[in-house]
Amino acid sequence: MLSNLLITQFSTLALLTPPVAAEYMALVPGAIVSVLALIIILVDSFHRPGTRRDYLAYFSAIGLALAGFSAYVLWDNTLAGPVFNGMLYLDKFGLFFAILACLAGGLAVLQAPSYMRLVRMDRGEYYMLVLFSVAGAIFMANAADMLTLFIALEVMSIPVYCLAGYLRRDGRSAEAALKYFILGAFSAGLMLYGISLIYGVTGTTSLEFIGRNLSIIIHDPDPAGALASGNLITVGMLLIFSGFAFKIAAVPFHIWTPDVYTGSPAPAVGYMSTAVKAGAIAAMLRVLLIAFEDPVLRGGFNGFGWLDVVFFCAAASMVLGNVVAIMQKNVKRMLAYSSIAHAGYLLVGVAASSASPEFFLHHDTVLFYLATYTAGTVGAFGVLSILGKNGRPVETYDDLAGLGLKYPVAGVLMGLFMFSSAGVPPFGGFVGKLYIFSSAVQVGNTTGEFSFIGLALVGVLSSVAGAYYYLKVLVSMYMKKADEKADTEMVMTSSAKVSLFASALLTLALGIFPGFAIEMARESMVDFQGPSATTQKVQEQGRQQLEEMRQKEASSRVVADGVPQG
Amino acid sequence: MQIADYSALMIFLVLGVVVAGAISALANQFGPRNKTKQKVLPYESGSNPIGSPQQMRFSVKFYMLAISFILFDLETIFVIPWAVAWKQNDMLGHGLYALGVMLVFVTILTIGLVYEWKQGGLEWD
Repeated sequence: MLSNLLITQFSTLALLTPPVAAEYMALVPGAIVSVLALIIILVDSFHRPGTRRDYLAYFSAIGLALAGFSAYVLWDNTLAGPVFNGMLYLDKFGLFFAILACLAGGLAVLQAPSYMRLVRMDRGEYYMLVLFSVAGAIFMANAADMLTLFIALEVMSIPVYCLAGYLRRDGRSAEAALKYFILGAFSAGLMLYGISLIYGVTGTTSLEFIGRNLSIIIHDPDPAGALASGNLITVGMLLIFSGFAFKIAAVPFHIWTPDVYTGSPAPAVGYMSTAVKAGAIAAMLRVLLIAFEDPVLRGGFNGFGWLDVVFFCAAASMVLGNVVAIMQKNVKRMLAYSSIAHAGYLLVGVAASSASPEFFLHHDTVLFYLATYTAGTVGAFGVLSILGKNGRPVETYDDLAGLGLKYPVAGVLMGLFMFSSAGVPPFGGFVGKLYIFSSAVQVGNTTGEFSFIGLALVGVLSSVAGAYYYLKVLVSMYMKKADEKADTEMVMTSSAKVSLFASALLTLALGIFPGFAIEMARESMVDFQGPSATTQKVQEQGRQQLEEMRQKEASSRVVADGVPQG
Repeated sequence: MQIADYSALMIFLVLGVVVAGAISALANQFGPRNKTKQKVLPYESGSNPIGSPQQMRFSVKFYMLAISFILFDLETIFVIPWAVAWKQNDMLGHGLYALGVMLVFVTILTIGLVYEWKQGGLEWD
């Protein structure tokens, strides 16, 4: 009793002690975005009625660029182990996702002024909601504790629910918001239930301690003890995974996606299909690779585990997303199904790299793919949000008919983003897909487990099917006759120009010079904090390889482009 | 922990029941009775609790009021424990730190209030 009291006293004292200054560095990118959102609220409150709010877009974008830059500055100043009593990590993995979220958010806010002119609804709430959501995504990627993770998940999601219902006068937008909110709240509740089950088994919410305690429980020599908590662990793990799968829109948790993406404003969809997905993938990797790292839980070669679940979700998402997208008439709906397919490609990367600890560093394929996906998708929704027909934004293939010739800039940009998403060579999407599928094939070759090669085959074949519907957009833009009676318009504000050209440039750069981003992704995985000793050895090897590569580069000064040897 | 440690709590509970019961009983016994419809209706924050919900429409403005209430009600939940623990915080030598943390929290809430005010959330008409 006395010792218990002492421990309580001691931990209370530890909690009461303020964190040291270095720990605050972990907050910097997220804090910049949060403070920016608060400033936007204040500025918008004193906005002069009747004037445009374009300056808010620039202000938010500059702030997000600053936050992204701060993450870049922190890149070489990461900390080992979690900070704030085990609440947050400050590692390159989290910073990579912080940069990604800032990028997606920045591009999405810059597209807003055009879209707001098209829908005649100029309100400042759009900007603050995007900013709050970006802050949530950043903290989610840095979470070291189930509690931080869950709160960040909510901070990221709730603004997105509001964004879905942004077009108040449009019934479909309200429907999208309602569906997204109810299903999202339900899935978050289930996820919380899973967290509580895992807490019940292990007695802690810290990811690292969960990992340690679960290994002890599973390898308990007394079979009755292991069996008793085994079912609880299984259910808890499945519930937590389902929460993440809902957020990344992976089959079978994808039902909400088409309706929500169709009803929501286009620039917001660009944001919610990239940054939200990135945040959820980051948190998922943290949970799966730290808390559920044990080979028994992982499954695959040792029986049934989460690897098999990821494997199934990947295959199902790729097939369903690509096949159903072919049937769509609405471009936004098509992009929704294609985003389900992209979730499948991402999960291929997760499944292949999780096959065994020796492939741990292959997770950089997922990170790199997210970067290419972000550039292409935000850009595509950007083009949709500057084109209007009969006083409303374009939506269907018929709406786009002939617009490629009428507005050459929009046509060329759309072509670029569609080719990238379809995976045509000089663009980012191609390198991303190549990198993921070649990693899956390599894992299959090394382990002799041919199901990974099969998964890569399914991915390649279904992305060929995907080329059909991406190119259909271009067919209707260039080869269909424009509707003469329709009143089409293109609202190209200067901020939209910045956003679209930045995404186009990024898509091209990631396709032609992918080395830089791949190296960043690889460094992120090398610096990933918290996995077990076996994985840390792999990380150490990766670090040495990176060092050697750098020395070689420095000595020969020959910059190797193209895909580096995984 | 022994059950005896909770004796104070038990005494408090019993006393509470006795005092509350006594006040009700005394008021019932000696108080003047002047029943009107409003007085005998169950209290429902000012709206009529009897009848079909379709006939009792109430203004959507109550919704704004309720939202603001929740916001600032929750604020007290955080502020009161902080105020109670202030002395210990100060004794441990980081009173200023604790003050700063709470200032950040209150500032964020104040910005929310400013937003609500400027958007007209505090006006009834």
